[in-house]
Amino acid sequence: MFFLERFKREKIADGVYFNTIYDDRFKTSRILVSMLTDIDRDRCAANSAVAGLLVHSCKAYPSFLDLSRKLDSLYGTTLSGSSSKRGDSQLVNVSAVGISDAYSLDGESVYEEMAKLLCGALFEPNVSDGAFKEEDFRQEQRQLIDTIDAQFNDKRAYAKKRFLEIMCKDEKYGVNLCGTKEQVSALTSTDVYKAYLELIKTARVEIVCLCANDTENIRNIFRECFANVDRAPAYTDTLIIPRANEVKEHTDRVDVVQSKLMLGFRTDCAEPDENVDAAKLMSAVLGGTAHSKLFNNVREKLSLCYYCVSGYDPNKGVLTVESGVEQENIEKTKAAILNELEQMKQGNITDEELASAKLSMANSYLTSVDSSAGTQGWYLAQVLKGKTLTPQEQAQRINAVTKEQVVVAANRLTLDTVYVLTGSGKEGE
Amino acid sequence: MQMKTVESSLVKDKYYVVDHPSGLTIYVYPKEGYKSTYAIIGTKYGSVNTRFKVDGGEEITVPDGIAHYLEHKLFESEDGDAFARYAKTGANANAYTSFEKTCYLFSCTENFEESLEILLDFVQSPYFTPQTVAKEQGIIGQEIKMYDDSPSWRVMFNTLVGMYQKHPVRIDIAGTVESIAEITAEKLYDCYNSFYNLHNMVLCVAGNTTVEQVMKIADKMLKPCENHEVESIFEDEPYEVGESYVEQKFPVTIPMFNLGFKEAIGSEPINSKRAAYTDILLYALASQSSPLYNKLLDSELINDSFDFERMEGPNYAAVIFGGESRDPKRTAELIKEYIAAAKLNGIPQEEFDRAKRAVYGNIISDFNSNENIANVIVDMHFEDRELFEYVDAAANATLDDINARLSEILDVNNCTLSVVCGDE
Repeated sequence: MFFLERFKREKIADGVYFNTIYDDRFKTSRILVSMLTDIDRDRCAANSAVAGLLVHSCKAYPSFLDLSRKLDSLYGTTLSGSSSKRGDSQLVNVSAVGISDAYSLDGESVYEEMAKLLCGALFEPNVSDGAFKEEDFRQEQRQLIDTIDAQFNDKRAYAKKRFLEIMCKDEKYGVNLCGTKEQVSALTSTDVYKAYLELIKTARVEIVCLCANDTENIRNIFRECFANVDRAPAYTDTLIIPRANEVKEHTDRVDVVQSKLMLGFRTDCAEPDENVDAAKLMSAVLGGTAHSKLFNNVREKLSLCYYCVSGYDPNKGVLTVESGVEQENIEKTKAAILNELEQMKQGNITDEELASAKLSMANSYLTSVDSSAGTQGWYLAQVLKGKTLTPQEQAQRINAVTKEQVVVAANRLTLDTVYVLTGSGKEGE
Repeated sequence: MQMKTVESSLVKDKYYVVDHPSGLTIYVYPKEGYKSTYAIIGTKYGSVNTRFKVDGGEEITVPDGIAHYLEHKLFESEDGDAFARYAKTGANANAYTSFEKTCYLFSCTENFEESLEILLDFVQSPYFTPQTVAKEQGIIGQEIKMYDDSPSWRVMFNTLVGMYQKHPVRIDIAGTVESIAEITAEKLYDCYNSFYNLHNMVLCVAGNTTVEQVMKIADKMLKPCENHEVESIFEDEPYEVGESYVEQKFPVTIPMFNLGFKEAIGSEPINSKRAAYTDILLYALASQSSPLYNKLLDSELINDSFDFERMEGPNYAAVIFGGESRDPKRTAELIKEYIAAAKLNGIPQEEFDRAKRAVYGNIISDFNSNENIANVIVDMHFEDRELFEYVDAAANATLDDINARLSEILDVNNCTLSVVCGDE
């Protein structure tokens, strides 16, 4: 068996797990600390600020310049913070990546130093009087506002964000994790420190360490750090809306050359439903590959667009289709996409379409673990899901899905939202 | 058939270079323990090669964007398109066109030999008809428009337009909706026959493979081909930038900027040593640990989108700094002041030491990925550089090397500031 015997999972505190993947193929080691908490409209901006502040400075390296210099001396080790969505949960991530010890020029252990630095960033932040250092906080606050503004700059990303806000208006899933500019402006350094304490205390924590070292020492350091925390893990959950009752339509007008069209569907199928694999394959056949129905018909046959792709989020049970088209072709493209879906519902799927989607998915699962970030991400996703499958096992499960199951999955789709971002031209809503 | 083994004690890897009798140079970089394989074939032909002569014949001029158009159309052969064939092997295939090269690639975990056959077959089998050429207009038209809406793409191209007065690097890689309307099957054949000559191409395979396996397929699929000299023609480009400031109004909430430093053109691309020295120099000047970066950050002028790169191709070279900024003009002034002072005083020893370690670590990290390795080998092949020589140069660089490089580039009196901003 590839991998699994090299994977070890150990509980080191209440709701805190240390996962080790031993792998000597890579020239880097990586450690990720992922803190899982419910998305809270009023708290997610503070949580996002925590992710930034923890890697901005720490007690041992009290300025950004000090910390950056330390990282450089560790052969350009990176320490980064981010915030991401998983279903209705927010993941606050702090991670370190550095070269494996075998490649250091003077024989020192980069791994040990890097692990201690990460631990210090997490447990010894640059804090006094119950707040992050004021100038660090101001810097992070300013950058968060820049990030929110920059979300409008990239129109494909902006369309996705607006689409989600509209489709999932009353769901946690629709919340922008950076918060609003008003929320970020109103934050104080004390608020962010409180959010930090809350995360350390209540978030479920998954530490994923990928390296070619013995991890016992580092595991014990993390264990001791968490032993000083009065843990009270909170339960997280995701609201699944099985089907849409009516279609929401929304158009935003911005001065763009190309219009963006997004369709959102409820799939009536989300983790841990046993039909998730069929839904994944259904999405791949529809628009997940360069052999899919959307690629071959909407792009290649009708020449309507450069991209027309579908994506399925099994953690939320939502499927989206997105495309960039001429304003005058919006309706035509929408009809063409819905027609391809209708074909699938009717069972018009060829053996070739099914086989190529399966091959393509297997290829992407197996290829992902040839990257160190991909391997770490794979195992994080597995432990969060609560069933640790290898990429091969996941590929086998997809391979076992029948055409009938794909057709059933397609028939469970209901159109929820049609979103258009377009120029200020002639066409109305 | 000549084969050379290249090893690195620093990277602890080795790869093989084969001069195949067909004329193609082939690199094979096996990665132990990897399940996947990445293959890429490239031709030294990109968007800038719009005027050329073959074997000293008559000059040919082709429409802007044709190299990219050809990339799209080469996937189609008389008996169907390559994507449909890849569908049967499970490989994930793609292609891209840059200023100076066009590349076709795939990654796979199963059926590697069949996928490599498909790759080598379709790049040697052009098939263009008026119908297939016409069909692509709509698709590429939308690709062009997608980039027209991208502020990061626009700000970069506006920099090139400002810096370069004549050189075709100032023209968008995909051309314009108007220029691609002039593309015909005949013009595509002209370009294909001129540049898709195996002597002008390179294949690199990295990952779960062996030299024997790659050669077996290469011997079967590669058709020997006669070497033709193709000479690209570039108008003389003045040293000076055309415009020192370019601005475009755009629907953005935070302005974006690029500050490009145009370089003098040598007759040869830079060698491995100077490439490594440049990377260390730029890191020392502008990475997150530099006084410059921290000053810009503390002055609230930049955020973590700030970045820098050096670009080089036939008859052009430049260093570009860029990112989001509320005040691009002030940011550009501070960058120029800082560089001017550094040129006078040199890079301090401790900043050099840190930058060198960091750049070395970043280079080592890049050897994790089959894709990175193969792409870099293709780039370096076309620029006459060798990969491990570059790693050694970074590991052995001295402060004097870096300061000497600083005196050659980054002329603060020869740069273009490009800004994309909203209506105030």
